Amino acid sequence: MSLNFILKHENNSKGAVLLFHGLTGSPFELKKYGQFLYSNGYDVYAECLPGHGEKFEEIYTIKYQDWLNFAYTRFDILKKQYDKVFVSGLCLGAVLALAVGIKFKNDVAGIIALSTTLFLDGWRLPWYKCFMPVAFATIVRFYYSYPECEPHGVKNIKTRNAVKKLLAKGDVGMNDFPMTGFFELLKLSAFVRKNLKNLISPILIIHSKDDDLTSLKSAKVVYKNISSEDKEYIILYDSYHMVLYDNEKEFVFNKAIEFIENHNKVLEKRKEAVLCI
Amino acid sequence: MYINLLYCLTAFFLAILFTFRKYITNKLQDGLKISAFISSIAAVLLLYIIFSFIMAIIVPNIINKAFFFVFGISPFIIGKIAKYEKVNFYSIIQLICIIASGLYVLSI
Repeated sequence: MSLNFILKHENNSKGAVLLFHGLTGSPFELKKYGQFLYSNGYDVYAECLPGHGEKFEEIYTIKYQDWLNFAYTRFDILKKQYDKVFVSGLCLGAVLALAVGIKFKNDVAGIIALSTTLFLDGWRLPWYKCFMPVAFATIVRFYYSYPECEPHGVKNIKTRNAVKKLLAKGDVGMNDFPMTGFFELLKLSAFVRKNLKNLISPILIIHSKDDDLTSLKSAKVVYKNISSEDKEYIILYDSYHMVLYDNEKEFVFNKAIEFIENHNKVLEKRKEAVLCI
Repeated sequence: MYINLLYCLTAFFLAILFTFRKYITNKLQDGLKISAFISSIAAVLLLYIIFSFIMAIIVPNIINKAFFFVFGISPFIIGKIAKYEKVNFYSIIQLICIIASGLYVLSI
């Protein structure tokens, strides 16, 4: 399931974009997004998060600190190579992007948070999700995994069927959401929420109104609690959770590159001003 | 008296669910049904925890109170220390705790 990709220009790259995929996903879900950013002059890096590799069982043993360390390390490496590093992610990846923004507050050129999952309160989750906290806190969390099911986070029927086929093959992501993964995601979410006030980087938040996994509450909490002066919040009305390949994917791609280009220019001007001084 | 009976029934029902968990999940096959079944274990476990704390409040003897308090928090302690690699071992410990609490309530 390792579908890591690095899209690097020979020379004259405008900067780097570090991408993080979602829970039980893989870099495959970021491929088209990455290619789009690459075609606009940016080097793009996307790697499998810990616990999402070849062995399915690894997700049961992973801790949220492993994801954090992974994200910090990858950003640190890129920061040494590029002047401008943007961070973007989907679902769990968006939470990690926020965590990177909190840790490296002065170094992150910008954050694009897509379907940020701080709360598991989407309409797809069954009524018995109310027992989740008990399951999380007890041994039951090791027994419990919620199966990937309709609508697979996708509103577009054609794309949904394609996703179903790919998931059936097991090549691009896991067929279940293990409860231990959810548990660690919520712990990571609690850590990020606690530190949101330390986030000062420019940020673009994109969230679907009908997100099936996490409601708009997550995006609103981020928008309200961060200290960034430069923040933008866009609500999508014709997509579910997987905004990168749903009905409004082109809109998302365009907004993302618009945000990156604008902040790239600002950083260039600032750099020139510093050089003049 | 009724609460003793309810506690005992909950404990033994939970013990049955824990014991036959693997068998039932293999039988169910469908992922959504399995997740609903596991949720039902979580629901009964919640009931068991609530009853344990109620027992800890209403029983007169301090030792009995301490025992029921320990039974009530045991799922959280076991949940905290459990590791995926040794999940069967910790499941057995949880099961023993539940059965012991059921027998204990009968003995008082």
